[in-house]
Amino acid sequence: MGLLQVENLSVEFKTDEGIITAVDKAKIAINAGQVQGVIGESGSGKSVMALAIAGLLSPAATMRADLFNLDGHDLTRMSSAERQKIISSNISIIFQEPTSSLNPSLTIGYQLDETIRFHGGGTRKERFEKSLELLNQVGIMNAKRRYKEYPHQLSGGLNQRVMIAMALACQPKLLIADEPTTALDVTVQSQILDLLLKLNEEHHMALMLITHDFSILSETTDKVYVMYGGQIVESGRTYNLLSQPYHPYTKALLDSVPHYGMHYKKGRRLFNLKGSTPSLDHLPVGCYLGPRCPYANKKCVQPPELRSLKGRKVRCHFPLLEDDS
Amino acid sequence: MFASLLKQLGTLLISLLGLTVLTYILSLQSNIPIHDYKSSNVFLQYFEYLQFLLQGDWGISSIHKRSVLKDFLQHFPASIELIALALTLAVTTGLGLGILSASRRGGWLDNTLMTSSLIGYSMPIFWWGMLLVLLFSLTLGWTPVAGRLDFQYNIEPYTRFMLIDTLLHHNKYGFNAFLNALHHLILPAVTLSTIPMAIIARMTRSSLLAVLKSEYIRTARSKGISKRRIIWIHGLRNALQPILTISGVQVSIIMSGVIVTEYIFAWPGIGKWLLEAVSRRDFASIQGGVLALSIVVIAFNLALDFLSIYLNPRLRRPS
Repeated sequence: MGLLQVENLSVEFKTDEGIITAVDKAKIAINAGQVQGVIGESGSGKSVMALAIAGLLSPAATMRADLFNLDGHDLTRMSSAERQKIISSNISIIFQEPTSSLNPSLTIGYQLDETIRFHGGGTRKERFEKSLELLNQVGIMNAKRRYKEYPHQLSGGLNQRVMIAMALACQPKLLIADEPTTALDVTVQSQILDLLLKLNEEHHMALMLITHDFSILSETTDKVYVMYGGQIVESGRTYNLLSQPYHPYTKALLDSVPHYGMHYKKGRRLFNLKGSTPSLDHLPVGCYLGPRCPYANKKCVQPPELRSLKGRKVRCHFPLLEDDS
Repeated sequence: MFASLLKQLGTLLISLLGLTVLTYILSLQSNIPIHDYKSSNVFLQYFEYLQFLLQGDWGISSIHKRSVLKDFLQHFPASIELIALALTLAVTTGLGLGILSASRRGGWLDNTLMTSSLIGYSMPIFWWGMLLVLLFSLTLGWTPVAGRLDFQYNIEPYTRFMLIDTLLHHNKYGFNAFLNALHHLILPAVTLSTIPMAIIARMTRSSLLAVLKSEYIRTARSKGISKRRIIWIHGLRNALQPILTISGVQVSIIMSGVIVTEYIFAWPGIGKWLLEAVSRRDFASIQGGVLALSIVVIAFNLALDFLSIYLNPRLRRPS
């Protein structure tokens, strides 16, 4: 069953230099309990897309969508207050910097308690017990002590667990994790990921993992979206997409990751895509990857459409098919 | 927490030391010696001066021939009433207008408030005071022109706080006098509070707007918390630090403003007393008045520092 369907989602920012399109006609569909990944470099629009879906864009941004269905509600036909209410009771989001995402002058307990009060409520005692239960669920020892502490007294990993506990307090059907492990130590990264996947299974809570790290996605997700320049350039089942990328950008991303067991001869270099990510206010004509693409052709000055190809969606005039590789 | 409190007390001692050195030098300028010193060494005399101060001997006023400290304590309550009301007015209204402005950012209300606050704090206080008298006292006749109480009331000075003394009468006469005193207090307090109010409003707005952009506010929004709660609980608490700091500065602005305000409204407080002392070269009173007013400013700032330590958990409980 479809939990979230979004079609032609665009987010624009008005700046002094004109209008910048941070997300360009994105199409997202997530089923209940599914784990999906969104990958892209910084500035590719993946975080803006997450904020748009969670209804947290800054007032400077305008957002449009042809279809925005969440848990059976058509969000395009609602006032913003109603929309916010439905979004906040169905979608929770956690961010890259857990420590600055928590209010520094309120205790962990107060912030958890407040969240529970806005989602279900209960008496003071019930809320306190619920808070401790949530802290236990996300693997925080000494929940009673942590309850009284402030975010600056906890490590980044613990704060991310608190963020997850707060997200759970909203009993969401979808949890968006926007680079949840980027700011954390490597050992803590896997703990947080394991926790997210455990909660996904236990609560049947869909998960949208936003990252720039393929190694996170490969083991965890069912489906992956690849973003570049605000557009989704390729999407499909994770295993197929990683083992046989159709879009040159996906291939370039995969080739630039060092693998264990790769033979590094002296002088051999890791693949890197020439040039740098275009800034959103100076996007190239036609295909946004064009100037950097090793396979680019005359036709690439025309913007490619997202088209279906063997069960995948690809935005490229010359997708890399099996016989090419 | 104790470490930071001790540090604050240390700074307090240093500023008091500097202050007394200053007033000591001031007291030496008097043509009639203010204190009788036993030693002839200027340095040792300073310590004798400190001793005199601690014993409550702040010198004898050359015009009134009375103890300076007694004179000061007699005039100070009238000023405290004015200062307290002005400060309360400045902080509450300033905070309120700042919050209102920040929550309607870019709207016409925000623009109007910010423009008028700019005018408010660029206004010279003596001119503003006279404008208010011209409009509200002379043209509209809503408020008295000057003074602390109408002549028809005769109030026994127990505490010398008019608002308290009138109520100590426990009868209709006392209550009417109380209202009359309050009526006299309004215009001077408004005059005195205008500049600090404008500054506090602008600081509240900018500080709150900066906080509202932060990531934890985004988290609070994602939890579905109401807008009012986000501003009052999540926003204001974190925005308070710079507001408190600037409020401390406002106390000293009010202390200097009170002198001008009391002169305009013929208010029988410390400002009028000090101005008279200055115009008649009464060094003992000047020295004493400067010392006392500065101590009040320092004490206020110390209290605000304690408050901000209390409000900031990162200072209160270092990890």
